[in-house]
Amino acid sequence: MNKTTGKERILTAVLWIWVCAGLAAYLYQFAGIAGSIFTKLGLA
Amino acid sequence: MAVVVLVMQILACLGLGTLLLRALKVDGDLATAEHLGLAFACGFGILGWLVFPIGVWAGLADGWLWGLLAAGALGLLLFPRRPIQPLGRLDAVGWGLVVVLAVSMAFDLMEGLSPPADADSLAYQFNIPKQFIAQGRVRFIPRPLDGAVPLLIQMTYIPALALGGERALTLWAMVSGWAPAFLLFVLARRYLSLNWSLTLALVFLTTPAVVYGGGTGQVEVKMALFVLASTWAVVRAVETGRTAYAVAAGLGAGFYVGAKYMGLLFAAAAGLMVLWHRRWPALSIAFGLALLAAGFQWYAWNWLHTGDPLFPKFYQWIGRDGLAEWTKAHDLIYTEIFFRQERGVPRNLLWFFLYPFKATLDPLLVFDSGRVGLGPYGLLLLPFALLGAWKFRARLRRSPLLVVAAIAALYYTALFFTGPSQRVRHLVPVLPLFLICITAAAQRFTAGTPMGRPLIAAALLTIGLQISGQGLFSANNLEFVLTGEDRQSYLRRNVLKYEAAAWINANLAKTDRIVVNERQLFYYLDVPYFFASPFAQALVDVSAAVDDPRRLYRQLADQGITHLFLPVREEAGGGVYSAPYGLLDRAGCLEVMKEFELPVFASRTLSTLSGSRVKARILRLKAPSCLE
Repeated sequence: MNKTTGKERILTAVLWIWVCAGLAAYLYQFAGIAGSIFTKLGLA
Repeated sequence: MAVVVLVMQILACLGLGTLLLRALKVDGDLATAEHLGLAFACGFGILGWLVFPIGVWAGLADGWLWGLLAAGALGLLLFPRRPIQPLGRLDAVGWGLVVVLAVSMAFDLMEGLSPPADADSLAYQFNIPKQFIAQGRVRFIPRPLDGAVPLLIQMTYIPALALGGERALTLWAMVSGWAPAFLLFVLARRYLSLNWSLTLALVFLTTPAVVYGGGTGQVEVKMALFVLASTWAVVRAVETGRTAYAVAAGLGAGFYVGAKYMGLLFAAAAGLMVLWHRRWPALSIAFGLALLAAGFQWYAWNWLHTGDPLFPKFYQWIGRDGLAEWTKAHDLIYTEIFFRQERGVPRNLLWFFLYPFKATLDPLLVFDSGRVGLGPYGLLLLPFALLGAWKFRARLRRSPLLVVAAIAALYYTALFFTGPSQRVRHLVPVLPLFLICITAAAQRFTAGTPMGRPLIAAALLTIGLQISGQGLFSANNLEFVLTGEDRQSYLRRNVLKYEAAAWINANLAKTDRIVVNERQLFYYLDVPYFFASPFAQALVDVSAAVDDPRRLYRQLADQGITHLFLPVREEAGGGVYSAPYGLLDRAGCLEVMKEFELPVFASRTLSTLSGSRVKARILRLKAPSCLE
């Protein structure tokens, strides 16, 4: 791997934030059915 | 016997595809795995294409079907005898991906070993082949939306069901759902490493929409085979200018056209890309003729019987008068209502860009993407892919992936602005193209930089999340297979209102005919039934405006109706049954034979989502004297 530049570090951080935020946003829509999953697994 | 038929059908597809690839002389530079994947895709289309004329003219006798499978399998004699080219050496990550892939396929196998429970499959995808087999031949079904439609893929279900029974049918649905993932994997190897290609196959196979539809009779996942084969051939046609590739591309697109009306949009997208080469006149003629040959059957069939090849799209203008099952006056009202229901957001430029985000993050019910959408992979990889496309924009102009991306983009554009429905499942056939393009762009952008880590995390998190969802989806099937649960109990748990079908089969005779508006019961009904939805027929006017019980009675009697299965309304004030059946009740023409309290669930997987119960009754239609 080549030496990391400052620009790459910033971009990497932004991409990490995007991945985490994107996944959280995707999962958020299932909040309504999360209870149902818990019930199915016997955890509610 | 089910496994023998399954194996024969796989061999027949491989053989028929091998014959085609050899006949076109496009198999020379294919690696062994590419040859297998493409041969299966082509053979799958050819098998469906051949069953239709056999079913229309010769009949669906076992001898014809065995003969077809055996003759098709003979094509494997032409399989190139070259040393097998390995796809690469697996490292630890690769082995890990293979293990997860095996788990995913094991989940699929559980579905393949369970009785069918998907509503659309029971309504028509599996039910129509079952009807054709019972009738001994393919007959026209004068019903819009799920009867008089392209049925090329459903034709491949006929040999499986007729020769191997239901188990062969569900296993065939499983295998033909796996095949696109395999073809995606081998074609992705042209642009990606072994591990990334495996990742793509895994992302595709565990995508919620693929998990939901891949092992059922639904055709969207299976149509990805035609899309991949056709796109591969378009790319090769543009690279080489060879007419044979344009023919292969046209055949692939034509099979998609023969499998669903939406295939016409794909054919337009792929056809436009053929124009990319300076030999475009010859290539486009070859593409067009092949497209016509592969896709014309069901459109000619519709035209012959209704006057409208795309029934009921143009029925109002070019359809034949005098079709009792679907009159023009009826069409004017119900086709418009139906398609209006299928659109959730306006068809404008703003929503053209916003729709994928809305469908992924905040889906409307009509998108059908809440639990069975396209997953988070596209969303998570978006900035990586855009940055990659920008960084390598100069190289992109000469990349074959530009053709792939253009086909996917053109299809999405055509579907969004002209398609009849905004359900995300209609995007599933081109999902593999999208996956290859964004992954290649993202991977090239991050190669050799620390940005590769969030990319890998995005892929692994997607797979982890999706396979967890698949595990949850498969719980029902696991329970059936591993606990030895009996079939009736499984069906009661998984098919809405199945108990009524069991009662109808046990208590009504083959000479009876019952009105059933619960489509998911059709496959399991052994007695004649009549689907009285106004979206399916015009023979019995069941609109709320009907006010003459005699007319309603006469129309039902003309269809030979002896019984009705109707929900019981709970609201105060109104009749017990929804309009117009309340008219017959008030006239004293309905006798209650059985009352049920049936569980209602919005999801088979998460049946606790709505655990209510509804009342429904089996009613006997009394003699005409009830109206005197």
